[in-house]
Amino acid sequence: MWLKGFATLLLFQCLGEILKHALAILVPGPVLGMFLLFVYLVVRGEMSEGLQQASSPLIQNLALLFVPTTVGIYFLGKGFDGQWTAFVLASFVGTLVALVVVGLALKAIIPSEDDKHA
Amino acid sequence: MLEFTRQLLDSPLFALTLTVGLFLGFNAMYQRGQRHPLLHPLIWSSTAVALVLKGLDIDYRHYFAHTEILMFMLGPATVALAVPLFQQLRRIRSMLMGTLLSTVVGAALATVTAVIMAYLAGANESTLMSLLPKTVTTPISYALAEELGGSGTVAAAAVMVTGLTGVIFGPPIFKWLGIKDERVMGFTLGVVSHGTGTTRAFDISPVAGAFASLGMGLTGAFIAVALPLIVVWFF
Repeated sequence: MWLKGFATLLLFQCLGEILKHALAILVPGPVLGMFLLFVYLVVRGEMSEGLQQASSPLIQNLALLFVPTTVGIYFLGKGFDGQWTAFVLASFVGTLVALVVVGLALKAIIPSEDDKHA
Repeated sequence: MLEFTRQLLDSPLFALTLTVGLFLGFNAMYQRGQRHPLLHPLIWSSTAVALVLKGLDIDYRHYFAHTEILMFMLGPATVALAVPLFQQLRRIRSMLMGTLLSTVVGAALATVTAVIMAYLAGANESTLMSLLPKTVTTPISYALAEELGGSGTVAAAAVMVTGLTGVIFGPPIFKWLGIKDERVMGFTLGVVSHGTGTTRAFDISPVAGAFASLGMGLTGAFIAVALPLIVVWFF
């Protein structure tokens, strides 16, 4: 019953929003909702089929949900002239550097799974 | 007749048909092209939508308002990321301290590099404040940028460029660095390129996707709590 699963997702999003309001922090409600649902699943130790059915299509098509915001890159407007170099350097080059640095840092921090099996 | 056409073009029905239709088309191309990062549907469907909007003279703000339901679905979709996280519980538990440490190090490094780059390139304070929260997902970075005195729109655009850069260049960079561990690939994509990177990680494997969700969630939480404090401290 996927609708039940979807209702569960909405409910946990509500709980996330309530928690955000109660703690007065900027972490988005859905992210808090994700952690709350995760804790709930861990405590319960199992997952309903409905939750699985509601989650898979959302996760599989996650990229679609980002399309409207991405389109906005093409409509930044005139007030932004002169800031393009900084914008591109930070967003593009900054991300390339971050990918390398974070990737290497994680490779060093996270113990390899192969080591355990060996 | 002309008025009807205008009305239809400026409606949620047209905006959603256009967006979902183009996304499906480009997604098919992506799947057929063995999921090559350069073929990612987000790049091509958003470019195609932008061209259609410009060609038909449709206001982007109208289009954005008409597709609000997609933004809304981002909420439950984010909550749903708890599911793959739960399914990978056993692999995550064994390295919890490692992931927490990696998040703090990763998120801090990603933010610092962006700010240094922007500062050297002569960004004004508003742009700088808009670029700070770029490693976190759109709704939060929008709110953070406005809070810090930046522009939400610029922040949202920076988030998307950050996401797309990770989607396109993440996999070749991992190859170049000799990173083969799916957990490291996923986690890095989640930390650096938030939700967009997470979509890419799910294309690598479910394990990578779960670690990307974790990285994205932890980074969002860390940045949202730490950034306002740091900005108040230094500026």
